[in-house]
Amino acid sequence: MLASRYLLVVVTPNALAHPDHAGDWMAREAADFAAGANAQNVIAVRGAGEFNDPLPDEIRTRFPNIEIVDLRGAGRFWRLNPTRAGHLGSEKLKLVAPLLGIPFDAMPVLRQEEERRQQFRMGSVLGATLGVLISVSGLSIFALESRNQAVRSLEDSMFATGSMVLLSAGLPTGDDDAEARTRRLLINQGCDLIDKLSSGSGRKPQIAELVTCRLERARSRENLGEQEEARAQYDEAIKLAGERYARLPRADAADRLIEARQAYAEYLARQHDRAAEEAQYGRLRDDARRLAADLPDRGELARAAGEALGQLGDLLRGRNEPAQAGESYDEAAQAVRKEVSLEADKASAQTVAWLVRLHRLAGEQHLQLNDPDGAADRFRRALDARGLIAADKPAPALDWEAAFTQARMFDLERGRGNGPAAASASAEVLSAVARILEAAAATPDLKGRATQLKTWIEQQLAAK
Amino acid sequence: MRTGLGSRFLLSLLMTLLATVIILVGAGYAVTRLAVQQPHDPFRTGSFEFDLAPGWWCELEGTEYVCNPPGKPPYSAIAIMAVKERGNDDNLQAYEAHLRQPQAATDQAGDSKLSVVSYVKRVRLGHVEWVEALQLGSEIPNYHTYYLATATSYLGILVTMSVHQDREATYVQQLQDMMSTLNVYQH
Repeated sequence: MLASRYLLVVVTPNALAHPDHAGDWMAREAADFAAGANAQNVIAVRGAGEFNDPLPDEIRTRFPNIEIVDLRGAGRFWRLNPTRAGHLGSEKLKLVAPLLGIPFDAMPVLRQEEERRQQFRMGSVLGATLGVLISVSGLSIFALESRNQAVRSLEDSMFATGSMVLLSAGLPTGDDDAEARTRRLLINQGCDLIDKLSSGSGRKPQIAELVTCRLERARSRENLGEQEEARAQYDEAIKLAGERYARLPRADAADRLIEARQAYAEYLARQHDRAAEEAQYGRLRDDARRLAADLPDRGELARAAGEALGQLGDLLRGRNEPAQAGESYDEAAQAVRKEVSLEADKASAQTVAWLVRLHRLAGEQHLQLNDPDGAADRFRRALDARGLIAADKPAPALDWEAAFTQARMFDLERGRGNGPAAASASAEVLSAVARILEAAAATPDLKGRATQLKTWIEQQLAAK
Repeated sequence: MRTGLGSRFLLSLLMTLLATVIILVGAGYAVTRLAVQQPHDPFRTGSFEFDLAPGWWCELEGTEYVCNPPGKPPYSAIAIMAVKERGNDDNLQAYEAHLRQPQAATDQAGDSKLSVVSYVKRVRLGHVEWVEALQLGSEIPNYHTYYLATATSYLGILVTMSVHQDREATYVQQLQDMMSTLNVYQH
């Protein structure tokens, strides 16, 4: 040790607090070295603890102004921390420079050189990090933009195809086979393309075309006698619309759910599956009511409820259950009355004619139940409903419903012996029939029925 | 004495940044070019599509699509696709029953010969079930004809691929590759 040029004293808290006075060895070695030729070449290195922790007594006494090299934090990964690496590099310089015999006045130059080296290292690390970040981000942005563009293009195509499908579906089926075939091909090919575009883009098409396509395919299957597949298509249309409404409770999804249920019920009627038809109309009624609670301003939903209840009334009437049928017709009339209220001035004569008919059918059920008062009440409601459309407005179908209801009223009142009421009713029948026969818009069939009704009334009056 | 961030820092930062970007982008581009294959030319109709083998081309002849291999006629292979609106007999059972029957083909001498049914089976290509069959001499004498038939909700699709028996090694794989990419749009 005495032959050494420098004595490095590495100070840690444990070295000072050694219980078996091991610190004495440090003091003795320092004392021995201080007695040698290189007595001033003692360097203290702080390895751990606080920088201002006391030095061993021997060192502090002999070298009160000794420079302490701070190598705390020189762990395994110190080079990865730029701040720590800079600090430790500078401290190491204090240690290495005397050992290599570098004069004290050259130290600033050495420090500057070390500083530059540190800067180069930091710059390189930062540059590489930024480079990776920029490259990865740039490539990701490019890939994402390209994908978005592709998806957008597919969505545009899907929208265009969907519009074509909806427009084609709105075309009249026509009596001409060629026209019907063209319409069918346009819709089916459009639907296939929508499937392709949807699977390519990973986006769902609009609910309108989704349901239209399922319903069209169901009709194709039905025409080919593949009833199981047809039912599967109807079920899927209902499921898709239901799910879409649950996710996005908007009017378009509600309308499509109603459309799908209605189409399914009509299909079941064509298949003469009465039980399933009744169940489907029941679901249509329930869905229409549920959706109307969410969307109270939509006349379409009231109309759907009226349609379902009317059809249920027809089915019950067919099973000779007049009480339930009458109740269903009453509820149907209420729903249609609501539709007329919601549509206000836009309510069509056709809708009002339907309302008149529902009241009249309800009245007929009460007649069958031997409840003439209930029947008369409903016939009066039917005739009141006629007033929703101005009498001078040509509406032959509505006039026919009114005339037929008046004829029922005439028959009822005559049976009850109420002559004036019967006379008034018969006069109203003849007046309505006259309007039908004069109306240019009345079909020959309607005029024929009106003439028959007039003849019947005249016969009844003559027989009296 | 500690100095601020100097020119060496900025220079090294810029150089490393540039080098890293160039290397990563270059490497990424190279890997992409190697890993992502150039897509085949697709052949599309309104209801299905498939990838054409290199050099093959298709045209509409009347109501059928006819696909030919590269080169000049007469061709040793041909693929014909017929698409029609479905009637009551257009379903998989009817197609399968029909393909199980040997077909009569007339040779150049005017002699009629029945074909040999090699196999008839159901296969699934994508999400659609097809009837696949191979007959020897059903369309043209000395040609092996592969059939694929399926039906959607409104269309019947029949794909017929004929290969001269001496050129099977050249074309069968190509035909199989094309048919393996057959994608009927309807889900």
